[in-house]
Amino acid sequence: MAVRSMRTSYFGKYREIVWAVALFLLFDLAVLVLNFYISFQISSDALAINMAGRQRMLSQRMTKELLTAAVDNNQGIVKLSSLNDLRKTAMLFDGTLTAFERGGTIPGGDGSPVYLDGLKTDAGRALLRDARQLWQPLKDAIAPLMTGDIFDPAALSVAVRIARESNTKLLVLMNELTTQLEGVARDKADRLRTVQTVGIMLALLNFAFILFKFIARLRATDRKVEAAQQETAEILATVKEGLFLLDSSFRFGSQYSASLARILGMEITPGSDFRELLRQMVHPDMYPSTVDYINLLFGDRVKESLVMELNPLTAIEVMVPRADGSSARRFLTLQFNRASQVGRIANLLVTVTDVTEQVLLQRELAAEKKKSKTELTVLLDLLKVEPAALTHFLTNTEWTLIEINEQLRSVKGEERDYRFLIGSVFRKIHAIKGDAAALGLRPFEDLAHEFETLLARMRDKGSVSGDDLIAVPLPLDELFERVAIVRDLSIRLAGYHDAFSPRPGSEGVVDDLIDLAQRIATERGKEVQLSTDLKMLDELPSPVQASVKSVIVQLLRNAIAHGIEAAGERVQLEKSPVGGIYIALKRDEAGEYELHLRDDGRGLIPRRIKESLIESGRYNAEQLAEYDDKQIIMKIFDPGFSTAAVADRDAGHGVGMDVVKQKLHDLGARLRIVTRENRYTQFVVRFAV
Amino acid sequence: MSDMTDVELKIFIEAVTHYFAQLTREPAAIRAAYLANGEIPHFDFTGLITVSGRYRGCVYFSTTGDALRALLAEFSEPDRREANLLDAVGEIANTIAGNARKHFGKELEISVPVTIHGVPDQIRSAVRARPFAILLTWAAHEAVVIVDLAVADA
Repeated sequence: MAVRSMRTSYFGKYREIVWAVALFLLFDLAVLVLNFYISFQISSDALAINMAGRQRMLSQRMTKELLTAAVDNNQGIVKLSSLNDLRKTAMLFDGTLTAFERGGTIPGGDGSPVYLDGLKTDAGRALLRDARQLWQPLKDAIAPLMTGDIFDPAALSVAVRIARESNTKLLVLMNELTTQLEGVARDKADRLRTVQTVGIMLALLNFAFILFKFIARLRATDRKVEAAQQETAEILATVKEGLFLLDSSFRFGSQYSASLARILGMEITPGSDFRELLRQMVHPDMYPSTVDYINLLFGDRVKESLVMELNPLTAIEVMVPRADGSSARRFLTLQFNRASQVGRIANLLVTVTDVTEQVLLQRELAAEKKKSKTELTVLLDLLKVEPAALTHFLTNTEWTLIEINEQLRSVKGEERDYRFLIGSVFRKIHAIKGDAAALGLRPFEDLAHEFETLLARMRDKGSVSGDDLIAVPLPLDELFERVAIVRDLSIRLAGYHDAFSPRPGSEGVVDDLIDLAQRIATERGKEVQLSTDLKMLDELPSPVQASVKSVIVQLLRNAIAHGIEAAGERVQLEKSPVGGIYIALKRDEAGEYELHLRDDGRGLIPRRIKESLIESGRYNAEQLAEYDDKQIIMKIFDPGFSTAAVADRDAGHGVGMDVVKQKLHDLGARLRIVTRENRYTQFVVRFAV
Repeated sequence: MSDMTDVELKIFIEAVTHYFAQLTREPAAIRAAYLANGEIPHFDFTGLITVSGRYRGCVYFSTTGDALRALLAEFSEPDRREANLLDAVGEIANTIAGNARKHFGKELEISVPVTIHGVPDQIRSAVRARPFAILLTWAAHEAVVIVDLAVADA
């Protein structure tokens, strides 16, 4: 169909020229045919003129032969050969005359038979009639001389007499015949010349028309082509995308957009192999599938739109060389579209687009989304936190982080220094986690937990070297970042905080503790009820208050994680399914403060503590045999001790009680533990301010 | 989590420790790793490479003149003038660049090293609020690697 329509369109386009050429050929053919015809006519006329001339000659020869025969006869000689010649001459003359009258075949000049047309013109026919009239008596007179071998002298003298009378006339007539035939031939030649001249003139005119039309059309086409080329050049020079054609043998086409070199950072050589460029652009693992994809487009088995999404060259990351010799990271998309020619996929139009900005924007957007989500989570947490408590937490945390960083910086290169460092950092991070948990600041709690997990791995792997420390600044930096983000948010929130009913001092702390207790209990499938009497917290100076809160948080986490049993177990022990925890801060007559924390859980059981200590590999049974129950119980304050089988963010790293020990040391506090198996555990912390 | 992992951070440090382990009789040990919160730690001689691509920023290797002289002594190099000391510190920075190229491939574009004697303004944090500082000891000499890189499009 396409071929047909293309032919039709070609014919339509060049119709005038096709017609003109056809006409030119027709003229030439007509002139040729006419030429043939008239040449044939002239040839006939030439024959007729020739024959007419021969008649003239024959008339004179006959007369001469008759007179010769008469002279011979007078001398008594009879030459039969002469008579034969006369007979032949007479017969030839007669035959030719008849042929001029009616047309017929006669011997030609060389004796071979030729056809002579009868004369058609009136003047010619009149001449022939006159000639016939003159000839007939002579022919009749000669006829007796031509029969057999008998010679009649009387018949000869009659024939001689008639010949003498008609000879000159017959000569004149034959002469006229010749002249007339020559005139006819000349007329025909003139006509032929005119026809030829006219035909050639027409053909030349036609040729001039063709030439004019053709040149005009060529010039118009040239102008169109030039305009199209100009437009194409302008498009290729202006278009931002890199455009080029790719043939089925992966060769670059001859034309491509000016942007292509800029986007790719290199000049393209028309006809060079695109695969060379491809190898530089895509990962070796991806290269075969990319070539397959392009080959797929050159085939006609799949629809272009269907495989578009499979394009592996979408937002590929490449390093593009810059003019100064360095290179820049760019993201490019190469789109392939089939360019068909006469129903065959001859080329692919490749559009190279620099999508760096879009990709970076998308990534930025994704990062912003993530950041916003984190900020929102933090924001929601912050809304629940009393501003003063938050500020206090942020300040404390930042100082702790700076302290940790300073420890990291100044650590000496001995293994025991590293071990001490890890333990110390662990305690500080655990305290931050506890404080964050108490305030319900999940993002801090989670980060601190991840940090703890890293430190726990280092602590538990046996030896610690400087190499291990490389990982430590990373989570530390994240915590610094988080403090900065939250501080920024808290400043922004400050303006709104009054709108929410703030909970002053200890009340806020109690609410936070209740939230923390509920969260830990829920996560562990337990139920707890917290009762508190912590009004006196408000009396304490800020640093002491912070330490006391840290102790409460760690003991509370420990009580729920390890002390309180699951509801089912409690019921079997004939206890209420809901575990009870009581926390109070009191002051005695001497002015010393007493912090009480009591849970009605399973109690601290020396036997189980021993088992955990042996399992951890820190002690063997013989060593532990030397300790009494009280000493065994105090081992829960050893760094790294835990009875939890699996570490989560509330228990298991064995740091909580380590922190308590550190804080008690900071407070200069004394600790008393009273416990009974399956009944209760009570911590009493006494300290002075 | 952080934009950079400890594995990636190690790539910059390992180049240095490997350099000393392979070319001298004494390996370099990592003494401390921390955040350069404030002034960037440095010594008299610094080799600096700038990075673009997936990460952008700088990586420095800085050490004392004594350390470099001791290093040249290890190589039996008699010329201990400043230009040669700068060449030596540049070579270590170049080793860091080479190792990074090997690991990150086309993802990172790394400049040729710039060497600095003294304490010019160039040594300051460029992209991170707190660049990573890794203190090294080699044969009783001190050195530091500063990694001040952040994800380019973050």
